[in-house]
Amino acid sequence: VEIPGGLDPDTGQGVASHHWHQGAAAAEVRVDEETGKIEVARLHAAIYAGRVVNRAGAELQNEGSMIMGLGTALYEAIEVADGQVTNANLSDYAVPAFADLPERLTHELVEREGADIHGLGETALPPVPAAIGNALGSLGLHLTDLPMSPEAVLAAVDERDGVRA
Amino acid sequence: VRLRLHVNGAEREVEARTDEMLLGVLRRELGLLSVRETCGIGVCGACTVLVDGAPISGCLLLAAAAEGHELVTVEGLDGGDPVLGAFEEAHAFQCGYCTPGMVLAAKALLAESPSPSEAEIRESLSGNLCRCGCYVKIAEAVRSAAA
Repeated sequence: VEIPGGLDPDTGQGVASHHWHQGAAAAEVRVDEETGKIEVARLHAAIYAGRVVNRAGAELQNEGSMIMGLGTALYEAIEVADGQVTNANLSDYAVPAFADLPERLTHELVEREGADIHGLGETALPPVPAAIGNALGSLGLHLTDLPMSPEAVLAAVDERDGVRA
Repeated sequence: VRLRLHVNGAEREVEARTDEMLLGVLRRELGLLSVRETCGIGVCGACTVLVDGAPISGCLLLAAAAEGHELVTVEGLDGGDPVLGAFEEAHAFQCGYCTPGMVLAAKALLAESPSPSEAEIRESLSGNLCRCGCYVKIAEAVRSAAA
């Protein structure tokens, strides 16, 4: 099989990948508008997986992507003050733990007969923050920065309700 | 100081500073490398050790305070251990870094609650972080080890 693509070693230019990966996610979210706390009740993602050769690995890749996406969406940010990282340990840089999981987390590997084998990568990650953000959008809360912290939620509530800070 | 530690079923003599934590002593003196230093402040669970059956962060327990207690790391588990088997069966890991701590935390949970609810599993294992996000399959492993 001839694989198109590849970068010219001299110029560094070329077709980086000829695979297109499609991923989508949906989230059901509860928001406490008094505290700004977001709870993701259900999270589902589906990705195009081509031909799956390692079922368990593919599922782990998807589940891990979604959980990492949850971290990106709600918790993870590197804080910097005066050129120094101020949250350089796991006490302040919050990685999702078991207790942060949605009540239901489900996903789907969309396969196609005769398709190529290709790396799944973290295709299920990027749509997760967007799905959660859109769920908030359905409540009139428009957050455009990550992570969507409780403070940012409260600011969005004030903005929606026309309250001046 | 010279300490006598009871580790994985055997009495071991080790040399440790008085201010040294159990984590470093297990690794340096006994070569128990499944006990891993990550955060060093007791929030990640990678250095989990069973102390009289309870999951304890090795980075927070003074080595000297571990004398007289029964210590268990995954090196001390039987090859046919049902929790180890369940983790393998469920593919409950990607990189495997958090796995020893997860296995020990799961063993402690199952010893206390032989058929834990989903909520119990989530709460009991929340002190062990997994950057790969293998929680779905880890919970599956714990459920199947319980059954």
